[in-house]
Amino acid sequence: MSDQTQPLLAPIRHGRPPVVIERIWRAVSNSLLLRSPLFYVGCVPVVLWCLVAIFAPLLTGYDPNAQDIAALSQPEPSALHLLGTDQLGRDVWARIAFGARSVLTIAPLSLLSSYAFGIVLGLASGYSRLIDPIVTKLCDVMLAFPVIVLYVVLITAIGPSSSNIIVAVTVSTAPAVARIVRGMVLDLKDREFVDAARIRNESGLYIMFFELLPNMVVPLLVDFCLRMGYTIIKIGSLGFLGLGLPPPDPDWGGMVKEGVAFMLVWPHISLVPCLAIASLVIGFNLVADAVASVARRA
Amino acid sequence: MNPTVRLATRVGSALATMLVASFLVFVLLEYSSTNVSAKILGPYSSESSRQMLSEKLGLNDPLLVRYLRWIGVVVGLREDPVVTSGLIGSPVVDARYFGNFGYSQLYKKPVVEVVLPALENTALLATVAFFGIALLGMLIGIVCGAYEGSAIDRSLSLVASVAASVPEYASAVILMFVFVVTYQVLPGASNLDTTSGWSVSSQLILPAAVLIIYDFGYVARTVRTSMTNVMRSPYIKAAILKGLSFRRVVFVHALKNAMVTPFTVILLQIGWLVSGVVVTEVVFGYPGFGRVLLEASLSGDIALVEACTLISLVVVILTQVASDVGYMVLNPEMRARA
Repeated sequence: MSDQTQPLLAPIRHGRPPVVIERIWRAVSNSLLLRSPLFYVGCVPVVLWCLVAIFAPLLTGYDPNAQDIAALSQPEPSALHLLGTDQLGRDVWARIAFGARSVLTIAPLSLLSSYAFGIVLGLASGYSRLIDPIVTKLCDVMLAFPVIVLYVVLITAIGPSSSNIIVAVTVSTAPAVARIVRGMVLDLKDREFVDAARIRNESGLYIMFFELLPNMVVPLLVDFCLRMGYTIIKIGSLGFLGLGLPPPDPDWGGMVKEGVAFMLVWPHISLVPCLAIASLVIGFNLVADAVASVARRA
Repeated sequence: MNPTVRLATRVGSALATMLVASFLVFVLLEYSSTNVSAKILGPYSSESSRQMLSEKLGLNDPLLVRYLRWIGVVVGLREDPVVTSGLIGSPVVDARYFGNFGYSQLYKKPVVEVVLPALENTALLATVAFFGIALLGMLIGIVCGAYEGSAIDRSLSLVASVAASVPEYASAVILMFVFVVTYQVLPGASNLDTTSGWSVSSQLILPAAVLIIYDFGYVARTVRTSMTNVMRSPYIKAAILKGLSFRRVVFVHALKNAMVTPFTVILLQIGWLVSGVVVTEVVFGYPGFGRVLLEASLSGDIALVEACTLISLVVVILTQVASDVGYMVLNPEMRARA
């Protein structure tokens, strides 16, 4: 794996942002990514759900929390409610559309926060021999926790809310990111361009963030894509376990949970959000697979 | 390095991880003394009684002192102060035994008596799922790796990656829709209660299938990568050039070396199953460890949450050690160096 990603780690001499952006752009436009059919197949659900999230109020006339008393006895899909209503008479499509908003904001935000902490910890532990043993051991400990158990313990301790979901994901993901970043720092830090920066008398912080970090952007982006689908699954699991967004806000995982009790009579209540999550995650994972295989070959 | 020394270092590091992790759990769940009093008196106890209990039990002592006291009770070196002080009017329980996690407010009995039967049920489900995951993952991985780049490789890899993209609760609902709602050939609840007319084995099918679908792709991918690397090596080319049948080359020559790395990954799935079962058990109402953990968490039964967390940590860390040791035994390079 590491020798295959080698070319991407080739030094960028002055890691100014434009160079990094140019490199990513070049990697995308020259690469096989745009020729990979799986990439386009994966993009379809991802783009569709993003559009649904952005234009949610235009795509449905219903308030996601409003109850239609008339629909209570007949929750099945009908002309009025295209995907039916749930056990409380709320329009399923409206809840799916507004639920897309929370999934598509909480998942990227929690990943961004994981990467922010992970990158800082990884850079520090790879670069400083003093910090390294502490951070490494701490990461080992955090990664020993089974993910769901860690989430349950954290949410038990701090309570369910959207910001606490972000905290829980960060606590469980940042150590994994830190470990990857640390490995790349150890690989890069003895190269000439880092020596050159040291000779120029640049500070440790400058070297970490402006010499080392820009050279990790592509592998980290690949990793980010791969984690996206997984994070959506885990956030959905939290919702499903009743540890996600507090009701009544629409949340796909929570909708599945509420619907399972009515599985035998009205399967659509839980089936619809299940298909929504599955299609979104499959989309993200296909995109990530395409990005990863292109990055490996580039 | 001497293998015994290496083993001892590995076990030592596992113990250290366990200690740090248990400390983190303790800090998270018991940092505030009101939390602990709530754990003993139940979530609906009044603030003043919690305050009184905190003072009686010395919960305002320094954190490290409290942690050591707690660990002492858990491993059975100390008597549980809650029991000896007679603070809970609960049935008479032993004050000192190994695995004393206290008293569950939710189930109204000692935590071990709640956790052990649940663990047994989970072990049953996890064993079935583990063999399914290992067999299916290995089979698909070997086929894909042996015929790298072929149509069968690409289609099976796609199936594996799509299967791994469907969350457990979603595949559970979809499978339930097909087999329970539409065709009515399997039970929708797996509470291991046979009075409903469904046998235990039929109740295990759906939960095990959900776990297998979610996880086999990961194993298959690892086996495939390892297999393709081996298939490209010169000794395999030599075997093929010698005129051996392709099947013989794959199963006799390649497989032995291709399974060294995946062995670790496959063993680590035991650790994954400990938490992987939570969602599945909740969907099917399976009376296992994961459901106990969730119910404890939702009702604020801190003693039970602590016990479940520590037990799952022990399982994960033990499988990590086992897979490291197994890797040392299996890998000829490591043996030679030892």
